[in-house]
Amino acid sequence: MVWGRKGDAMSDAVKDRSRAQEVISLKGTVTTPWWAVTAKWLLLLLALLVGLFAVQRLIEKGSWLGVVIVGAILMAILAVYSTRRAIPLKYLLPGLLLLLGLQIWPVVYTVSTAFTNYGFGHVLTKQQAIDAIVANSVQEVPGTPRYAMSVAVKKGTPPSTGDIHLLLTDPQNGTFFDGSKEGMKKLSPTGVQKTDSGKITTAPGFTLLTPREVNQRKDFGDFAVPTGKGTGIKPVGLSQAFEGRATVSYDAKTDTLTDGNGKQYVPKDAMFVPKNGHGDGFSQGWTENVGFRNFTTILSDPTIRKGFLSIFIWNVAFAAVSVLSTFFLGMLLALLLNDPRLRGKGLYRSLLILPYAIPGFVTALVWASMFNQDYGLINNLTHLNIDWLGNAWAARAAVLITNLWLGFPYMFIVCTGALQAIPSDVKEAALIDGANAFRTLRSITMPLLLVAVGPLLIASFAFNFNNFSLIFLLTSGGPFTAANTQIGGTDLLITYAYRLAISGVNPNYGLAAAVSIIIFFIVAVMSWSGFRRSKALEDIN
Amino acid sequence: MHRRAIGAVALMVPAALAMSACSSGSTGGSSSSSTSSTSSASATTPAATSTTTGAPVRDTTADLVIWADNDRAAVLQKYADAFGKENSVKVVVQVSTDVRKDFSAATQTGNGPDVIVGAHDWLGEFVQNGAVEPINLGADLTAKLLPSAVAATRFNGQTYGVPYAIENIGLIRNTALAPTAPTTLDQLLAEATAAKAKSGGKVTNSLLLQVGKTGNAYFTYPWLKACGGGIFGQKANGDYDPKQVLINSAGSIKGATILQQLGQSKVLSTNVDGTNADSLFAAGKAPFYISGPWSIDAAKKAGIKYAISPLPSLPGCGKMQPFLGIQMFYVSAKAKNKALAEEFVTNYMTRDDVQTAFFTALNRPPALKTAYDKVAATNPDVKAWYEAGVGALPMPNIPAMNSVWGPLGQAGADVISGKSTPKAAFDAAQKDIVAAIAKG
Amino acid sequence: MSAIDPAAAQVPVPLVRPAATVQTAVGHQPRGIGRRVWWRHALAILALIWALFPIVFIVSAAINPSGTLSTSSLIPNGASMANFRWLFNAPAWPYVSWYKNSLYVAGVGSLASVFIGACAAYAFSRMRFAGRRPGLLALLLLQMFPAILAFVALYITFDKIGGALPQVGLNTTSGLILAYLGGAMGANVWLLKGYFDTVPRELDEAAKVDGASHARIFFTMTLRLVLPILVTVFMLSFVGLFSEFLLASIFLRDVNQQTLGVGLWALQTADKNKYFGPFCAGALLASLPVVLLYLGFQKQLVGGLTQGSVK
Repeated sequence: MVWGRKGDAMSDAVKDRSRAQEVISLKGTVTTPWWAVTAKWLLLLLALLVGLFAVQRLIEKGSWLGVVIVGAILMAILAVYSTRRAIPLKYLLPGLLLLLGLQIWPVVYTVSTAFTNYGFGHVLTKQQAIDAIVANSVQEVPGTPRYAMSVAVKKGTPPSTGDIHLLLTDPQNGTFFDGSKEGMKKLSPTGVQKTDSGKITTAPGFTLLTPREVNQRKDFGDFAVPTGKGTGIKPVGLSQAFEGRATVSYDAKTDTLTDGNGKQYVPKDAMFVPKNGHGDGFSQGWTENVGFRNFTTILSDPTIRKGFLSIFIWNVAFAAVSVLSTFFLGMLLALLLNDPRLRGKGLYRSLLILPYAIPGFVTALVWASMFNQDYGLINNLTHLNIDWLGNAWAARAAVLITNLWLGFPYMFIVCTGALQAIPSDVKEAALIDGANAFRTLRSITMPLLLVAVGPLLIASFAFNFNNFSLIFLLTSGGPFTAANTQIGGTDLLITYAYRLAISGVNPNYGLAAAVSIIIFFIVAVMSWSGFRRSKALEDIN
Repeated sequence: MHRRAIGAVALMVPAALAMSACSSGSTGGSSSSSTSSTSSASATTPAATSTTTGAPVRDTTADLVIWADNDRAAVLQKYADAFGKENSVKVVVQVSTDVRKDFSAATQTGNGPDVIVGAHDWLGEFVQNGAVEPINLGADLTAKLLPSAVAATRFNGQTYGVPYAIENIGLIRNTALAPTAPTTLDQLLAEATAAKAKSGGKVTNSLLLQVGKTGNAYFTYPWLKACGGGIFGQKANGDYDPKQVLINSAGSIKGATILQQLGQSKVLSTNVDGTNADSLFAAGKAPFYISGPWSIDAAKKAGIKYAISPLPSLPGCGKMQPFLGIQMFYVSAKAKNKALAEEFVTNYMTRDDVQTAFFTALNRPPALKTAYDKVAATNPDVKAWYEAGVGALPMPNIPAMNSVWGPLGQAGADVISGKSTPKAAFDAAQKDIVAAIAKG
Repeated sequence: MSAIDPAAAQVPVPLVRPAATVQTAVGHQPRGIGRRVWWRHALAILALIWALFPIVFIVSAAINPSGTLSTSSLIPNGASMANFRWLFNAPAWPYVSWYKNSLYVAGVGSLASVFIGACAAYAFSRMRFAGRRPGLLALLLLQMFPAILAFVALYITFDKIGGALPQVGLNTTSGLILAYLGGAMGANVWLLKGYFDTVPRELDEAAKVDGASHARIFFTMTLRLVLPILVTVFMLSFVGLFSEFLLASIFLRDVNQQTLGVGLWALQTADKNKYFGPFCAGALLASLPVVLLYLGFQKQLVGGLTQGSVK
C-alpha cells in the first residue's frame, strides 16, 4: 500500500483532467503529462502485484484471515483510486490504512489484553501448558543404560517418511536393539558395524539417516520407543538415547494432573495447583479472560491508592514545569538571537541545538553521572553537597534540570520559527504607536507566539506526561524509601505502572495494560481541556 | 549489575513479552563480555548474519539456528561452522543483543532459534513459559562438569541445559596499596586505613561496592549470607523455596547491621555505583573492590597491579558468600530440530577446546572440569575467581527472584545511607517481597 | 493600537515563504557587533556554556583512550582517536552498518511520513467530508495512548506481516519504517494542516478555473507553498527516528540490521564501563546528520514550524 501512494494522487490528476475537460472545457489550458498517468497505473499495478504475492504466501501458510485482510486492502486501494469518487479518501487512504493496521489495531489489542491475565507464566494456551508440564516431567528410569544410538529406516522406505527405527547399543554388554514405534527388539549382531563409542554405522536391512535427514524429520522431536507402561526410549541428540518416564499424566475427563506420587493437581487461576491445597503447583500457567479483575486490583490495592495521588500530582507538575521551562528558555534564546544585527547567529543556533541532536539516552546517562553526590561534576563545580539522586526534592529538581536541557532546543527551534513568522509590520506598527520594546514583546510578540505554539505545547505536555525513558534512565523512579519500594520520589504514572506490572513474581501484561488505559484517560482529559482553552479545536469546523 | 539493569532492560522491553527481564539477572553486566580485544579477534565475523539479511526473524534455510550476544557469537562461530561441516548441515549463529528478550518474544510467535546462549537465572521464567526443552545429560557428562554448574541448570528437579562457564564476585585488591589479602573485614579495614594514611589523600575510599541510590541486591546478598541470612530458604532437594523468604531473618539483619556500620563510617556509600566504581578503582583511589571478572578491564588498562581473593569474613559472622552465576546453552522447546540442537549442546559444546575458547574470550572459569584445570594452571585469576566462589550457591533461578531485586536492593541502600535502620528497612523489604510473591 | 489585537495579526497571510519576508527586512539593517548587541553575545555565550558542558563531557570521554565513565573530569587524561578507531573496527559491533541503517530508516521514514502527513493535511484543510472533524480529534486523542504498551501488539502484527511479506517483517529496517509510518498521519497532521490553512483557497480556485485537477494543484502548487512546514516536519521526524531505540530494539535483532539507537544502547547495556568511550564517540558522530540537516535547512526551518498556527 505504500507503493500506491504516489499513484493515488496521480490518478486523480487524470480523472480531474478529463472532468475538467468535460465540465470547464472553456479553459483546458492545464494538461496532465503522460508520464504522470503512466506512473500512476504502474504504481497501482505494483501495489496489486505486491498484494497478490502476499496473498499467495498467505494461502501457502493457510492463513485465511490474512488473505481476507490483504484482499480488503487491495479492494480499498482499487475502489478509491480507480474511480472518481471519494476524493478526500485518495489523500487519506495511505495514512489511514497504516493508522488502522499499525496504531489502532495495536491499541485495540492492548485494551483487550487488559481483560486477561496475559503475562509471564501465562503466555501459553491451556493445552500447551499441559503438554509442557508432561514433557518436562520426563525422568530417566533409574538403573537403565544410556544407549549409543543411530537413526534409521527400513531398507526400501524413504528416509523422509519411512517409520523411524532407533538402532541402539547397550554400552554395558554391547547388545544391539532395534527400537521402533512397536517397541524394542533385539537386533542380530550379524553384519552390524559400530564405532568405538558403540554407535552403529551399518546394519543389514536398514538405511541409516544422515544428521541432515534426521533433522528434516518433523516427527523425530516427539519420537520415543515404547518400552512399558509410561516409559520409553528417548533420543538425546543424534547419537545417544535414554529410557525415560513421564512422571506426570493428564486426565482430560477430570481435568487433573497426577504426578509420580499419585498427587493430584487441579486448575485454579489458570495454573495447576495441588488438589489438597498443600505444596507447590506447576509454574506453567495459561492465558485466560479475567474480566475486570485487573481494574478492580488497581482500585482495591492499598499501595496503589495511597501512592496514586502523590504520583499524579508530581506527574502533572513534572509535565507542566518541563513544558513551561523548556518553552521559556527556548523562547528567550530565540528572542535573543532574533536580532538581525547579530553576527554568528547560524553558529550559535547550530550549537544550541546540539543537545537535541545527540541521542537522548546518551545524554540522560551522562547527566545521571554528573548528579552523583560525591563524584559528579555538578557538586564538584558548584562546591555544593546536594544528594541529588538520593533526596526526593533534589531528585525532582535534577529530573527537571535534565529535561530542561534535553527539551529547550526543540522549543528554541519552534520559537525561532514562530518569531520569524510574525509579520514585521505588526511590530513596526506597534513601535510607531510608541510602544517600547518590552511592551511590544509582552503585548504583541508573546500573544502571537502563544497562539502559534499552543498546540505544540499541549503535544509536548502529553509527551512529557508519559516520559518513560527520561525517568528510567535518570532515577529509575527513585529515590525510594525502604518503607515503600514501590513508589519513588520521581515516579511518573507510566514508570509506576511498569513497576506495578513487573514487581510481582511474573510480569503481568494484562495489569499493565489496564493501568495504561487509565493513564490514557487521564492524559486525554487533561490535554482535551488544554486544547479547549487554546481554542485550537474551534478552528477545525 | 543486577538492579542496575532494571532501567535498561525494562526500558527496552516494555513489551511485556520480556518484561521480567527487568531483574535481568546476570544480563546487565556480570554475564557480559569482558575482553573486547580478544573476542573480536576470534577468527570470523560475528555471524552469518549476512545470509539472513532481509529474511524473517529466523533464518529459514538453516538446519540449526543459534542465538548469542555479540561477544559470545564471535566465539561460537568457528565451532558452529565446524559442527556444520562434520554433520553436513547448515548452522547459523545469529547475534542478538538481548538474547533473553528476543528469545522470549520470538519463541512465542514460533520464529525463534533452536539453541540460545544465556545465563542460568533466566531458567525459571523460560520453563514457566514453556520455552525450553529438558535435556538428559546422562551420568557420564554430568560427572565431567562442575557440580555447582550442573545444579544451576536444574529447575523443579529437571535439567534444562548445558553449562559452559561460571562467574562470581570476589575481593579485588590493588596490590600496590594492599599487599596482603585480608581474610576478615577488620583486617581489610585496617589495611585500607594504612593505605589511606600512606597515600596522602590520593586514596579516598577503603572499599568499593556498587550500591547506588536504588541499591543492588546482588552485592548485598553476600553480607546477609555471611551472617546466616539470605534471600530464600532451600527445599529438601536443594531448590530455592519462594515460600521461605529470609530477608528479615535474624542473620540477614545482622549482616545489614554491618552494612549500616560501614555506611556510617563512610566505608560504603550509595554514591558508588556501577558507573563509577570501575574507574575509581582504576584510578587507584581505593585499595579494595568487591566485584567480578567483568570489572578488571579498566584496572588492567590503567596498569593497576591487582590480585583476587575470596571475600572476607565478617565480625561475629562467617565468610561472605557470593552468588554463583552460570552461563549455559538452552535448547528451545519450539526447536525445529531438537536432535541436532541437543547433539550440538551436549556433545559439541562440552568439548575441552570449546570451553577453553569461551574462557579466552570472556575470562570466566569454564564449567568443564578438564578445561578448568587447564586454564587454572596457567592463569592465576581463574583459580582466584573460582576459589572466591567455592561453596557459593547459584543465584536463584526461580521466578520469585524477580520480586526480590528492587526491595532488597533498596533496603541495602537505605541502610548504608543511614536513611533507615536495618530492622525497619529489611522488615519493609520482606513485606514487599512476600506480598509480591503472593500476588504472583 | 488596533494592531495589538492578535486577531488582526492573523489576517495578513504570507503568500511567499515567511523567511523571505524577513530576509528582505534584514537587508536594510547594518550588521556587525554594534554596541547594542554585545549583551546578546554575552547571553548567547552563557547559553552555549549551558548547552555544551555535558557535551564537552561526552567529547572528553570519547577521546579519552581509557574511556570509562570517569565521573568528575571535563578534561580527559589523554587524547587519542582510539575509541573512534574501535568503533570502525569491531566486527561484533558494526557501527558503520548501524549508521547506514539509521540514515536509511530516518531518511526514508521521514520522507514517507512527511508525504503521508501532507496528503492527509491537504484533505483535512481543503476538503469537506463526513467524519472530518471527528477524524481530526481522534487523531489527536490517539497520540495520548502510551505507545510503549502497544509494542507487543506491533511485534505480533509484524511477525504475521513477515510471514506474508518477508521484506517488511521483523528484523528488517523496511519493516521498522513501516511500523513508524503507522503514526505518520496522526503525529503531524495538526501541524501540517495549520500551515496548509494559511495558503489562501483563492489560489486553489484560480487554478481550478484554469482546469487543474486537485492532484495537480496539490503536487505542483500547494506542496511548493508549504515547503517550510514540510522541511520542518521532515527535520523533526528525522531527529525522532534517527535515534529511536525503544521500538527498534524490539524489531531489529541482527546486529547488522540494527540502527544507531539500538546498537549504541546495546553497547552500553553490554558493559557500561568497558564500552563507555566508544559509546560516547558513537553518540557524537551520531549527532552529525542532525546538525548538518539543521544547518542545511535553516532557512526553510525558520518559519516552518509554527507559521501554520498563526492563522
